[in-house]
Amino acid sequence: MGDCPQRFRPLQSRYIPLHVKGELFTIKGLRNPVALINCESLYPHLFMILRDWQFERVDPSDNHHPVITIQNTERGFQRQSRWLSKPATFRNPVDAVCDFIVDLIHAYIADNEDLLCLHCAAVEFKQGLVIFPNTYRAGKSILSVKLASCGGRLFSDDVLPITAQEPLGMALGILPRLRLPLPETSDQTFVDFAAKREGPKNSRYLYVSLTEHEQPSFGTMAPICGITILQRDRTNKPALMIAKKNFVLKDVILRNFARQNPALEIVDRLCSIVEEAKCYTLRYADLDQAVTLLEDAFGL
Amino acid sequence: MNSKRQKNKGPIKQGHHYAKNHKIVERRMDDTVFLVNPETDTVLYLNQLGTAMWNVWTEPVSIEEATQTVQQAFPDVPPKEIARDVDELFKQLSKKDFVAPCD
Repeated sequence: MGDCPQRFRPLQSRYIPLHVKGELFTIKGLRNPVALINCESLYPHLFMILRDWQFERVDPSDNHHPVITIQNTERGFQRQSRWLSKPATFRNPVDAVCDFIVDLIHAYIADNEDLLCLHCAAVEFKQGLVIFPNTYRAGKSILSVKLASCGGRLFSDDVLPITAQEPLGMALGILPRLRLPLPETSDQTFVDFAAKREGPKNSRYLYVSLTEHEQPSFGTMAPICGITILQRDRTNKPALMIAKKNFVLKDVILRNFARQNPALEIVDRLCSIVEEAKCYTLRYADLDQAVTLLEDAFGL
Repeated sequence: MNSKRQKNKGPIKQGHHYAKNHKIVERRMDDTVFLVNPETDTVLYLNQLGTAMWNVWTEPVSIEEATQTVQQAFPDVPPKEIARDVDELFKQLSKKDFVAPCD
């Protein structure tokens, strides 16, 4: 038995400066701009990782209310937003962009109220979109990149917005991120694939700059045909096992973090998605096993 | 049934009868009940015991009566374990007003 978290806590506005010096960018899909103050060194990472997001400079002298502010300070890149109870600071630019994306997604969901948003990876197979709800260290990011290297289309390695009318998953056009070092079990073909597409990186993370064919552009939609719960297991034989839908529904309710709509509507929408989807638990030890089992079920 | 429903924020009261909040909406998936309280926007999913209890919770019931019913249904389960699980269920349900004392 479990209790789902409440709606977001009341928004904290005290950290958002009303008048900002620095550069202001509107981003397509957001009502308010983001402010980047002395952050030129972030731009290459930011614009590369947020591959399809349309940034446009606006006049900072206008009376804008930025939804997120990053300021390059002596202590690092300091970010303030209404989703943070206190400013977050990162010295490393890749870490700063990585954490900024968390707020960016919150802002996007807040401004697009009909969307649900699941903490999951999502890859399009021949049969449709298969989502992999987040499970701690189960490998959803690396598996989704591996699937992209084998012909799948990566919609997301971390969060997936879902539309209201016909439930469709929406690609976000944000580069997937792999934890470094890559697992020792990674085969050379995959290591080469990741190296060829090396994007922004630091000692802990590597962003993978997939092609448009491997990762569809922001706003691409696809129907959800499968939900697969990942289970890393080195002791038992790899298998794709039918999962009970009540277990899957419980899991996706917990993975949804867009709670601006009434709880009953959210549950009904997720019920409908789970009822329509093929639900599995994937038990696997290495990526090749996982790809083979998923390809058999959903087609690549 | 709920006209006498009281606000319930304290601990579970022994001997008191608890009734379902009639505003709760149920959704079922396989053998599990998911409860939604539209007033608090809270979702609760019930385990096997919770689902079984919820299904037969047609009249107000006390924690003692509920424990006894479950013990009769599952004679092989140690009574202490049942008492603990029923107590936890009542706490979870009353905490977010899925049920409330009615006497």
